[in-house]
Amino acid sequence: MSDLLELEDLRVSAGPHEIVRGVDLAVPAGQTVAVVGESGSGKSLTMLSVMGLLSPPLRVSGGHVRLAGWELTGLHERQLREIRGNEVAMIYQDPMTSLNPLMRVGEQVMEAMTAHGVAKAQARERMLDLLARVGIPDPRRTARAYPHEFSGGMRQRVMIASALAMRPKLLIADEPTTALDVTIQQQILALVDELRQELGMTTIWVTHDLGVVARLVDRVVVMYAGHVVEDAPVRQVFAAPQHPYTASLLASLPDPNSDGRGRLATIPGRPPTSTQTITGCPFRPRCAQARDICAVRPELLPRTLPVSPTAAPAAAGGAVAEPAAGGGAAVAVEAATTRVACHVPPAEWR
Amino acid sequence: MRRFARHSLTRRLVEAVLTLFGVAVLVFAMLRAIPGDQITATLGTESAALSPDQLASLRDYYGLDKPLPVQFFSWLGDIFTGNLGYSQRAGESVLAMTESALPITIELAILATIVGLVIGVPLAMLSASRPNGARDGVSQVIGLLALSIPNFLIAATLLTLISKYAHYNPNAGEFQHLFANPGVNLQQMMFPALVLGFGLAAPIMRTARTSLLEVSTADFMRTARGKGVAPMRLRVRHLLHNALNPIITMTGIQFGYLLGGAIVVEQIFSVPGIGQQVLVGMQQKDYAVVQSTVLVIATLFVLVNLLTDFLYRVVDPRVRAS
Ligand SMILES: Nc1ncnc2c1ncn2[C@@H]1O[C@H](COP(=O)(O)OP(=O)(O)O)[C@@H](O)[C@H]1O
Ligand code: SF4
Ligand SMILES: [Mg+2]
Repeated sequence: MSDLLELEDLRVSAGPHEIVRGVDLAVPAGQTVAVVGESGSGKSLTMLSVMGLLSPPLRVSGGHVRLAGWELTGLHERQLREIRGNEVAMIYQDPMTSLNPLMRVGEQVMEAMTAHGVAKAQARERMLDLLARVGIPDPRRTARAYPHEFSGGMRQRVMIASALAMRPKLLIADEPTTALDVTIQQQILALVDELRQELGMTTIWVTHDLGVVARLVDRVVVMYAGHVVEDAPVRQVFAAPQHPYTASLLASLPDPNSDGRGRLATIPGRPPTSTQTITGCPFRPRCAQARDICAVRPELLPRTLPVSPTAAPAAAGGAVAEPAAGGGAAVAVEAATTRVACHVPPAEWR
Repeated sequence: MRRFARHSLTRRLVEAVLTLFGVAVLVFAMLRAIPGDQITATLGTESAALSPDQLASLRDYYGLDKPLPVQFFSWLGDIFTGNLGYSQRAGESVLAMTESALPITIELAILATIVGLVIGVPLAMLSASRPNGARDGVSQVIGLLALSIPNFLIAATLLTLISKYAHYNPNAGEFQHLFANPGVNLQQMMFPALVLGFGLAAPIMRTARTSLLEVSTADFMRTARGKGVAPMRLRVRHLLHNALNPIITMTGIQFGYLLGGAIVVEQIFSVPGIGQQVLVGMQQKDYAVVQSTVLVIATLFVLVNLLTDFLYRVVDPRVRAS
């Protein structure tokens, strides 16, 4: 079992509404993965299900989460508790609200260790080391401070210290810099990346902005409306995005050679909400390459399509007979002007 | 920072003094607005038989012949010297009466508050642990019952049942003070404290439940769970601690009311507390007793409020900082 984390057809629902709609993801030990997608695409809920931290009305409504070969879905709360913070830890988006305002920061870091049976004196030692390691000055004194005495960046450093306290195998960083100033963002990214290397942690960066983490990851997983629409090595994603949504995401990144001011384009429209029922491809209303068949059975589209609008099948009936021609295996084929590859591969391709 | 803190403390004190002055004016005016005075209250219908001379000398004796503002300020002035006035009826200074009645009321209020907290908070934690579940329903119903049944009804029923079937009625004998006879005193306080505490548990439970539910969805709760923190520590150290301030506010308000004397419950259980003192004073139109006692109660109320503010500071470092 070389995959540290394995999600199989993972589904998360709130009441009757499915929000995460069957995510498959396997992360080998030691890999660094970015999970990207617009806000609302289900990234956080996917990660919270790995932690077993969904609270009602949210629940895992299907599929499997496996960590180092252990099935986590359906595990008793007591067993989950041993895993959380110990085998897998998470850094959250908003450091302003993620720390207990009434508890000294030192105690909050220690707690991550005492919860897993580390003796208090030892936890204290390690807490001071950790605070120093994440760049908090004068740990002995600052350990006694309360979160409100800290800036956002400092609080996020405290969160990092408590997440890494037990040296987890898997670290999930859920938009850890989104709430911070730009200058602080870079420091926090660099710090987590340094610690990742130092501790040899498998790491998942969750972000709505691929540009932020592109340099740090081996692989990119793109999510849209609760689906994984693309999953490929980072170079390949940048060089040859397979899904129209990925292509739009990349097009909306600021040009690294410019001064960073201009965004080239934003994707028009909004992603579907979790209460909408979706037939066909969820990206269709916003997709420049959409054709009639996409409204019915997008998985029947060939993996790669020529872009010429005349090539669009006129009716669903006609398209059903066609897929064998395109096949599922060829990943990217140069077409006249653009490449298009639709997210859900043909059934036999799974 | 320190200057600001002192400034806010000064402001609080000024507010407190103004409040108390307002209470003094109000109680003084109200007593005099009710028809009758100490003379009619003391002599009853016989007062009609008084000659004008006798009446004048009695009015002079009680100080009723002076203009109202003079009466008011002479009363207030006396209070600053520690003289709360003299009760003709009781043949005792109001200070001495208060010194005897007030500790009883404070003891009862503290005991009742403890009972209220011990019932209310765990019930709230139980009901908030699974909102809209079965436990929540049961706790809510208990809370509603406790709110809607008048406490004198519970008191009278309890007393009747226990003295009839268990032949136990510690409140039948003469009242014993805590330090004179703690064993008997605590038995005498038990039922009134339970009755008042049960009534107190309901508002405490509702406030605590709302507050706990709100805090339970906070991000830092998720963080703590994500660290693998054990459920007990999660509930007490993270959840309850953060939910404490509204509970303190509600408890403070209720405790303040109790200091005003639980008149009916004191009456039923023959507890000679401050409530009884005011009640008797009212019946006898004993101005000195009523107005001074009410002012003492109001002062305590204000003190409890200051104590509540102080407790916020103990609980929340952010309040300390501002
Ligand atoms: N408690 C909840 N109840 C109902 N819907 C929720 C709840 N929490 C999140 N959602 C929905 O789930 C969707 C995905 O959320 P999330 O995983 O946080 O997205 P992301 O992290 O990709 O921005 C959101 O659009 C939101 O509307
Ligand atoms: S299935 Fe159709 S609409 Fe969806 S991404 Fe592919 S081309 Fe666009
Ligand atoms: Mg998110």
